[in-house]
Amino acid sequence: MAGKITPIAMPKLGMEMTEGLITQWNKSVGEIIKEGDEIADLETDKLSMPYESHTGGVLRRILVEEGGPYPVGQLLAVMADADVSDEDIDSFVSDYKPVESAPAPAPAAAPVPAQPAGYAAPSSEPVPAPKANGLDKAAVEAQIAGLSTEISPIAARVAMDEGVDVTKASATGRLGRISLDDLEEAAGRPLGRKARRLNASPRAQRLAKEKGVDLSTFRGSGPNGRILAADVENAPVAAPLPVTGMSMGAALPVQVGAAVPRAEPVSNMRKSIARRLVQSKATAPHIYLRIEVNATELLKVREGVNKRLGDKKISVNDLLVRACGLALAEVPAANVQYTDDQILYFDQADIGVAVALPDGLIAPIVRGVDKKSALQISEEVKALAGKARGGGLRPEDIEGGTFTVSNLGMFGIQDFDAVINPPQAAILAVGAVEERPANVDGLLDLAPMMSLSMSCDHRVIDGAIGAQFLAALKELLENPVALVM
Amino acid sequence: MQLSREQLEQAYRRMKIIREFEERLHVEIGKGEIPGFTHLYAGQEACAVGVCENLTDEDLIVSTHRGHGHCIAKGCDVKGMMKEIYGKAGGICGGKGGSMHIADLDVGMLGANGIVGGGPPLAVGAAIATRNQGKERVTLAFGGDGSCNQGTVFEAMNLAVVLKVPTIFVFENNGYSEHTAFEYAVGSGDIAARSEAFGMPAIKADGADFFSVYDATKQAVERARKGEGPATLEFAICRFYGHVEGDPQNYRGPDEVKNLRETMDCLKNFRTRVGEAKLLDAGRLDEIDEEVMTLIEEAVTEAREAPPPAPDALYTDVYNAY
Amino acid sequence: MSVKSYRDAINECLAQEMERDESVIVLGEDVVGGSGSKGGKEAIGGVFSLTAGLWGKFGDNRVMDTPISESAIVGAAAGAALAGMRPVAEIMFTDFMGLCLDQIYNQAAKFKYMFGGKAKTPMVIRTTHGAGMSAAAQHSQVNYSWLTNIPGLKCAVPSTPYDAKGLLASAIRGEDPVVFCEHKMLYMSQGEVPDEPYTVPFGKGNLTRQGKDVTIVGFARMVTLANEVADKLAGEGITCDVIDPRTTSPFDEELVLESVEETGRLVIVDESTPRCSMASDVAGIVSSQAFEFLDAPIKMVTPPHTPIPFAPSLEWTYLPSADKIETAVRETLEGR
Repeated sequence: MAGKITPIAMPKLGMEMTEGLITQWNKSVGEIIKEGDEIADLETDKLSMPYESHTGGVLRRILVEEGGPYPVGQLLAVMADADVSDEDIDSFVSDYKPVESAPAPAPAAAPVPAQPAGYAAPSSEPVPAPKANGLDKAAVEAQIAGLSTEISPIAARVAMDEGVDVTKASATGRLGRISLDDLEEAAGRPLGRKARRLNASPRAQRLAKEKGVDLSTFRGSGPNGRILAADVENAPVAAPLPVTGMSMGAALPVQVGAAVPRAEPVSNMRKSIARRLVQSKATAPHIYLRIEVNATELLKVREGVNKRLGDKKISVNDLLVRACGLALAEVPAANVQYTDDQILYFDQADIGVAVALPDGLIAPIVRGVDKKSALQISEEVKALAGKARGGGLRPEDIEGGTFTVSNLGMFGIQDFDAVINPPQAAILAVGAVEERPANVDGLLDLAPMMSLSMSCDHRVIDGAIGAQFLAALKELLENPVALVM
Repeated sequence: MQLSREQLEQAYRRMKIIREFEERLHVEIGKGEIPGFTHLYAGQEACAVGVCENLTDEDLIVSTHRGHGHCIAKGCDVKGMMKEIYGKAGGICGGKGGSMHIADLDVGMLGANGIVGGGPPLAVGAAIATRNQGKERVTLAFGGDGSCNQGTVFEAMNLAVVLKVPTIFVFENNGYSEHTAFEYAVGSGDIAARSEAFGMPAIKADGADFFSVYDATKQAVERARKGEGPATLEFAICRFYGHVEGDPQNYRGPDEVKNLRETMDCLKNFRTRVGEAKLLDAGRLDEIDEEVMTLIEEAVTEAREAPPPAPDALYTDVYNAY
Repeated sequence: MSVKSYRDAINECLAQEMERDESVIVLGEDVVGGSGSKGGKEAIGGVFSLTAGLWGKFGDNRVMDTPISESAIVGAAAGAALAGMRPVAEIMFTDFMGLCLDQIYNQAAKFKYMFGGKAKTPMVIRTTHGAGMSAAAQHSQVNYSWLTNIPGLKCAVPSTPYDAKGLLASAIRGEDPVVFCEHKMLYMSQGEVPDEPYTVPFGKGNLTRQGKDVTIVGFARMVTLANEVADKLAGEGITCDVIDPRTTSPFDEELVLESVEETGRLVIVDESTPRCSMASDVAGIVSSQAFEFLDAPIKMVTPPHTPIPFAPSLEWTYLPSADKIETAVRETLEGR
């Protein structure tokens, strides 16, 4: 029953990160640490985030002061079980060798759902498995067969499903086995269902259902970010805050004639939108690629189809979503997500469709667009938009995806640029279809033209890739037979 | 009497250590220094020592909740015992057993036992082991008159006879099962006779006389070593203190303890016997008394000053591997 | 490797371990059978014939018939273990544990701790447990739940011939006291068992079926029912992780937690009566340690809080069944 010693080393929080600062120690020596506790606040030149403990124990040593910078891999502190002797800790510290690349702690602010949620009814389609770092199932299986330690059968299964390199995992599980926790530590990210599951208490889930609140827009206040019932209860904006300087009669300097603001608390949804937008702009360097599309054929095809459909109608936007799906299938390099140490390639196109709501914006996701007909897409988009407006979206309706379509054409907007919806890597901003002078068969003529602007996360989609995608998209939209096949 | 001068001195020293150990515990418990339940052996010293002087470290004993005397007689470290009873680090069981669970396997002491009648089945098993290991060892189970009414003891006595293993059942009859008189609780009034009914010989002797205890035990041990099977010893003895420290002893008659101390003090008896027979002189015994008082004083001082067990000790030694 | 019964696997293990180490001894009621009788020894070799043939191989000093004295049997095993042997005591039915409980939980299980780590008590108590033979209230119980509650004691509940042999070898070679529960309804069950000695470690659960939708944890014979249900539901596309913990103490809670993290739903099948059972224990572990992964209430399939009835119709109603497990799985999928 030898106790466990866990090093706390400067993690590598990004590909380029070589060193980091400790802005604050949140725990002191002797404190009991639980899994998920934020031991310290870290800062790099790009971001700040807490160091979350992957495991439990007692904080036994703090080896560096607040400040820094400290190189990646440097031992900062030591955590251990209570029964580990001081001598053992001392020798652990003196023998400690920084690993080449310390695993990053799970980011506290924004879990990266790599896959659609697994809530769904049993025997739902298998979730698309990103082939992380190119390891396929057989390769992982071979690794497992060659392991010198045992591995838990559950960890083995997750490793094969997600292409995790098991040779990098330590074996701290029962009887010296590689546990699922070990695997996650090696991968540097949550795995399996943990990665795709919304963390909300049963009571919060029930309340959310009753109130029609979308839990995915919450950041929980409970342990490990768990959404609690109280978070949901506080969700709707009940009463405006008292207006400063008036109801309270406080002596705030108010300029005569100046506008007096009406203060309302920020809704959780608004907060979530704000946080995600800032995160997007702060972490994903945006580049913008524009293209014009002649919609003549598109409109004709749509009209023809709608005639045959009778009551049902498909919209230009439905056809656009379908076209984006096919274009992503054609240019898989654009069907990606960027994480701190991995690029995730997806084998189907899950596309978000932005829906405006009275108090915000949400982009529910249509799964496997490349494999669905325009009519199927149309019906799904309608259902999702209805759910979004009625507050009935479920977490799996909005998690993951690689791409979003945002269309302001119905508001007469000619063209605009959109902010990428993390963890996705691109978004398409669609303007109105309007008669504009265009080159029609070599002649200057009026034609129904549509402006498209694609925002790409330059960390993972370079201009050339984006251009390939847009070219494919333009081809599909201007020769739209494939869209209705 | 074939005991050498050294053996007699050792017997006296051990009896005296037991007596002073217990007398001192009584004082310290009264001060509130010692945690838990303590059952004192004072008055019964001749039993433990008279029996154990027949044994070697290779022979095994199991003991009872009133076990300090058996431990000292079998050779357990006195200072380690005192620390154990104080619940301190360095105690003979690391402070995790306490008064009722002192054990030292290195000297053949397989453990005191908080359960009345818990020990005899263990002694039978230990005897199976020594038989199979081909050693001429004997195993003794100490018990009081209270234990003679436990089914476990009957089972153990029968099993020892059936398997014919070298187990000796020692009953120290001090007249009380906790707070209830022997005359009431033992229906037949005769423990030795019960044992005989299981098919083994039984000897009764005066437990306040070291020499009768020694001689009776010698017969049983020699027989068992020869492979002739188990036996029972019943010693009439008295305890000077209550069942447990704090016992108001309302069951005692007027001046009962005072009279017992005057007439049945095995240490006084020993001095008289060795004096009359000119085996040891009083001066030598006085010297031993002084050595013992010094030892007990040191034991208490060291126990008092010893640190408590490390907090981690709570979790250790539950399993060998888990 | 050949196909053997659960019974033969255990008998073979005893013989091999006695061959391997002469400190291994066997004692109990009728483990030889016929001692002192006109008919002579080797009359039965245990009432379920688990020790048949051992006396003939190893003789009087190593295979001992005892009187009907459970306390003395277990106490003697504990004393022999303290003095350097590796006894394997047989308590004919686990229902008789009440007669010797003091020797198990106050003596054998505690020596190491009480004596500051100086004592070892390497002993095994083999016993028969489980209902299904109309043996009624005093010969059909399972006791592993409350045995698991005893610190210092280990408890094994093998469900297959392979595990029975490997776990028993681990128990005999280990240094701690173990209660080894053999399910009387499994003695005839068959499985692949290597001929040579091997061990199965304690505290390492076995994932007997793999799935995504529900985790089923079963104990002893319940594992066979859980497997049956998992196989049936797989035909409908409902897939289950089935976990056989194999030992209740130590318990492989890590495997259960990992599986529940992946499935979000848990059904526990336990032949113990429900209060303070392995079922409630596992439910407690999972709800306190994997709360945020649960999508539905934990389901426990156990007998009712009653003694075991004699009438076959009542006894089979008492016991968990494949149907009851299937219902529980379906209910948990509905979130009920």
